[in-house]
Amino acid sequence: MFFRHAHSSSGHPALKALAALFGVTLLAVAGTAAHADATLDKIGERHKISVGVILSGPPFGTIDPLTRAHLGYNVELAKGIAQALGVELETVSVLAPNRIQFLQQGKVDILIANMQLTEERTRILDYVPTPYEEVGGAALIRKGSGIARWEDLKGQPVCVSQGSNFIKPLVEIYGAEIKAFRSQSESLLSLRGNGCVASVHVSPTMHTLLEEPEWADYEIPLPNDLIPSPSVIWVRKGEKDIQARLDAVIRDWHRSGWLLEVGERNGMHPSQALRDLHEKYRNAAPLADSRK
Amino acid sequence: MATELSLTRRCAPGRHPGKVLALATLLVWLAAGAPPREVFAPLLEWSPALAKGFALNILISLLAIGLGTLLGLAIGALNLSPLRLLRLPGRLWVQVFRNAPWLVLIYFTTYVFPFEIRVAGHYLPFPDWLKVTLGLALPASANVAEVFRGAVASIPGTQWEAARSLGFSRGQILRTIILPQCCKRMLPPWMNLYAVITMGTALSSLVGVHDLLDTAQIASNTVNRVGFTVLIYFSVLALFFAYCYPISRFTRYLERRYAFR
Repeated sequence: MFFRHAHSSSGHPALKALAALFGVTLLAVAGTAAHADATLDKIGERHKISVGVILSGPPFGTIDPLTRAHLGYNVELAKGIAQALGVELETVSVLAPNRIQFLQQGKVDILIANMQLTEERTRILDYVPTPYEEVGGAALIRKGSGIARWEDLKGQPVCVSQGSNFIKPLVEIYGAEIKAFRSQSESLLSLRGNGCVASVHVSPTMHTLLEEPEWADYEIPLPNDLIPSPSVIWVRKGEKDIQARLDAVIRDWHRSGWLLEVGERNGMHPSQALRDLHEKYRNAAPLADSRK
Repeated sequence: MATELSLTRRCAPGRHPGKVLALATLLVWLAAGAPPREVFAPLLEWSPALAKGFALNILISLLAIGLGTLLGLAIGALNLSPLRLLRLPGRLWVQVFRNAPWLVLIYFTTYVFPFEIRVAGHYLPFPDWLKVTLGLALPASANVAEVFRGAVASIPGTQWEAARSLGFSRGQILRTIILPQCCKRMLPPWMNLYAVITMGTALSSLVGVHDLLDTAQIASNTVNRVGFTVLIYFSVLALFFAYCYPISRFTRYLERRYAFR
């Protein structure tokens, strides 16, 4: 993008020269940069897996106030993966706008980053087919607002996080007016300031919030979650080996019920879909030893 | 002597708009009902993480201004060259990086550079905070180059002529007559630039560096109390202010001191 811009805007020969010089430097830098091809090879070679996690607040992820160590549901899953592969773990904090880029450039090997399965995402990335949870959106609304169905949000201002996958259904199906904030806490602040009638975020976080006395005046009145979608681990496109290895690990977690336990412990309120998966796999043979 | 006298007089409270403003804000805030204990307790709990975050901001700002100054002086020197061929790249550098939004430069350095470099079989990580430092050093260098050029230009041309008539060469004039005077003149704008760069380090939170602002955001999402969210952003503001305000005061002191010399 930069190059195109630099060339098209430069009638000036010096500018062109600068752009060319810059390009050459970049190529030289890129040439020496590491390019991970097969994820599993890289993990084996370094005895370390790098997992992108989102630290957007509990229950998914946060940091320790004292040591700044990464904590939370995403981090525990990452630990489980590293343990199953028998390698060290490095968690990298990612944000919604940069997580795909980090995965594609190889900074992280896999993503456990609140990324639900959507059709658009499967075009650029591959994923571990067995989901580890199913998460949808819940709308936090002030009590007595008279909103009882998702359809009642038509034309009403609704607060969400930027880049949230709830924006599309809210706009296209229910015709809500979207106010997108950089993070969940700003969105909730706006809800309290009557900037919007509802704040729509991942359901587990909203249910955790309702347990706080501060939110006693609010409720989640809509019976069903918005677009409940499978939460999956994402890998780079075409990395079939790691995909298969991780899938076996996840199925084994469903068998042992470990995912339910981690979910309960972190306040995720495990979904019905997760319980069904446990029922499905509970009689499967245990994974012999995932370590090579 | 005279300047020192005038300084003591300047310490009267009316001359300190910053302090008065801070005090007034605090009073208004207390009058509006100071936040209860359950909001302050998490702030105390999170203060180690916030302190570490702010230390990173300061580290980034110091490295950025250090790198930017070295680079900027080199480019400023190029700009003073009598050869057009040497002046041109310097001018171009200054124009490009002075007129680009900082956030764009930060995004640029973050996503263009590799995340690690392979040197002799070892993987050297290239952390994001270092990329942000580079992203801030670029505009810093362009600004320092301009400050340098301005300082040299501010020395009356008659000094050059007088020195030349005494038989000094161009290099000698620069080294022994012009540059010593420039140092003093450059100091206030340079410190101003440093204060601005420090404030600019808050942009690093947008590319996922765990700086003060990012830590505050995680803290506010974790505690999830509205009072706390307001308080923690207020604390972030206060911390940046506490760091930048003395710099700006000191700059003004230096400006007054060197104004007519």
